[in-house]
Amino acid sequence: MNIYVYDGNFDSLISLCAELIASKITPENIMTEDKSHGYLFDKIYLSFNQNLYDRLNSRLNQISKTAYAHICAAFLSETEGMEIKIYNYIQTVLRLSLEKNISQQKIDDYLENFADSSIRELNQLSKKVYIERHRFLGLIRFSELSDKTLYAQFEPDHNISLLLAPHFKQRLPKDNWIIHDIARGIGAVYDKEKNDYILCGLENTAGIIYSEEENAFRQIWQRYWKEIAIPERKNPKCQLNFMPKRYWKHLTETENLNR
Amino acid sequence: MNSDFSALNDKLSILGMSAKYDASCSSSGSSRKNPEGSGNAVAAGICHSWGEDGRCISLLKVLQTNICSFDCAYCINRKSNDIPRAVFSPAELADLTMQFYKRNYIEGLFLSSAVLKNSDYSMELMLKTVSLLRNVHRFGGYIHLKVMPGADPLLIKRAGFLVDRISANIELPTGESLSLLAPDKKPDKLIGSIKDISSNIRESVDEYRFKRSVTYAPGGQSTQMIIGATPETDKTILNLTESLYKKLSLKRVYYSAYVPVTESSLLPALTKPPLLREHRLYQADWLLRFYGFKAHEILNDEYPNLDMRIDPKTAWAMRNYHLFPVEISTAAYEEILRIPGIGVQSAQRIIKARRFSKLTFEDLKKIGVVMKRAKYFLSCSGKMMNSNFSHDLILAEAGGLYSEIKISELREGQLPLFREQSIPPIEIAQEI
Ligand code: SF4
Repeated sequence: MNIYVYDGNFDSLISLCAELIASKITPENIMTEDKSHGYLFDKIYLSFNQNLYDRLNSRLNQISKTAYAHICAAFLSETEGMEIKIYNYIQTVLRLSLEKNISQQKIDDYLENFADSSIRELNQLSKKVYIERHRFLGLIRFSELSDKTLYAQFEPDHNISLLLAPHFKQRLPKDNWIIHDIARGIGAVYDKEKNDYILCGLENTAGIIYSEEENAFRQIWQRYWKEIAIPERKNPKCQLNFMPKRYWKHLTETENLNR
Repeated sequence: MNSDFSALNDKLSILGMSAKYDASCSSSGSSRKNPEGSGNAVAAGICHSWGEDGRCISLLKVLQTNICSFDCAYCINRKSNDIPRAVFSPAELADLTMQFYKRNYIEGLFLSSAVLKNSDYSMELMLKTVSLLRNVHRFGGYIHLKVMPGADPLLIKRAGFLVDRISANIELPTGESLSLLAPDKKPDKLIGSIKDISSNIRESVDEYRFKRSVTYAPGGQSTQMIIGATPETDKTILNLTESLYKKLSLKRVYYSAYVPVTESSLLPALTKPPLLREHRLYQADWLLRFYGFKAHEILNDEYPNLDMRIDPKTAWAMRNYHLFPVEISTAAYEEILRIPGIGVQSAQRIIKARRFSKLTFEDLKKIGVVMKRAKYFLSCSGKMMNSNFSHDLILAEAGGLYSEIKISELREGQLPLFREQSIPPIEIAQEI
């Protein structure tokens, strides 16, 4: 058994993969310290190697920007076993790029060859993340605070704050807004003066005060939402399929129904 | 709530109620960035919520007014119906849209109206709302505007430059039906508006070379017709659909299962809207738009109506079994696309993957092919997984494959889209 342990950072994972590949080691598994408690022996720690990290990072970017984006998204999935899938995928990408006379087109095509399990598995992960991101582009709900800041809480399965922020920067450039992932205690905070956002730790939500109008618009929306459904076409199963109950807590329209 | 807000609340309730039988809620097809104000539109469209009927809520779908001087038999807002009436002032509606939009309740506005006084008068009101949004609020989100029946072409022209999508309802599949149920509407005027819009769009697309952007309704034109209120066959409906796509370049045709909102001797006494028929029509519509089918292949004089038991692609394949099995390792993309159980995404993946290795049945499954269905219609390197093709078996299996929930999945804007730029929404296609 050889289980490689890293600190949970993306850069460290890339550095670790680079080192494993350079020394031709096939790891049994790769995981973070807290997930590795069950394993007493055979845990291996490698320290961060800037040089190897830089080389692999730029190499991957050079081979395919899309592949790199898939790797990032798969990492943000934070699902169990994503590290080894990323490792396998990186290996495939590198092996591919070393083939003699291979054209960019052929590389791009192969990266969509779902008969190859390393490619399929990584794509399935990144797809999950992008699907959730797309869902939350719609499901984020802002409330207006007394200082006019738009504030949203949500609890996504995957760590998607950074993937959502650019969309809202484009959409609401003239308002200050915060999207707060309360499950992870982080948030994207946008400042309209600077026209930019930062990702930071956010814990405390006590002391939040709504603007005067906020309640009125919530009620207007809630009623509209309820009445827009056509009774003859009632289909709660379908509704739940698109909008699972676990999201309801943070949706304005369902905040009172989630009992 | 203070009294202003509660009046607004009631008004939205009335005008939302009156708008809700409209089928389209799509916010797709237009991407827009807004440097000055707030708002953008995303090409694939975004659903914000889902109502109890499982339909996607993307836009604030509302009427400018439900006061109508027409008396269309199928419509809840017809003059002779006794319901509460209201009018939004343009400023009121523009403000409300902004309030909803910044809270991310909606992607934009879907504005329609009943005919207050006359078509042009209501159309002017709607135009005021829309131009307040664009020019005063600097709203860059999505706007879908439904033009009034027989409105002045100049108003239609002005409208298109302010909105993302524009639509004129065709209402019913034939002129006869229209004259019978909506005597105030003139079939040639309705078609005339649709034609005007498509030539406006064409002009704008031609100018694209100079302006670098399509300025007239970049999200294109759609229309809607009611299904099941009148006796037309599916063949009539599908042929009409095909010519709307081909000759007038519409982006979408929506079918709306007739919901019996009123009693009239002119209308069939339905107890339930024909949802399954609507679903089958949407499937057939997909075959036209993404699968390279012609209407006459799907329906003809011998088969003038869609088979309710099975999807139209499988029905076609069963009638044309001499064309199968299709050999996966050599067939053209277009042929693969016609195999039941294979959607656009799987077909594309097959084409890519087979360049690198011989595909097995197992590979196909992993790629996303619904083998349960496809197995009768394909071969891998000359072998078939199952050659015991029988109509009865497929019909029996179809019962299990198509559950209730999938019916509503077909509506646009409800597809779990992956890439924002992917045009044929792929997930659902696997089902066909
Ligand atoms: S004109 Fe429109 S709103 Fe008025 S009755 Fe006819 S369909 Fe209904």
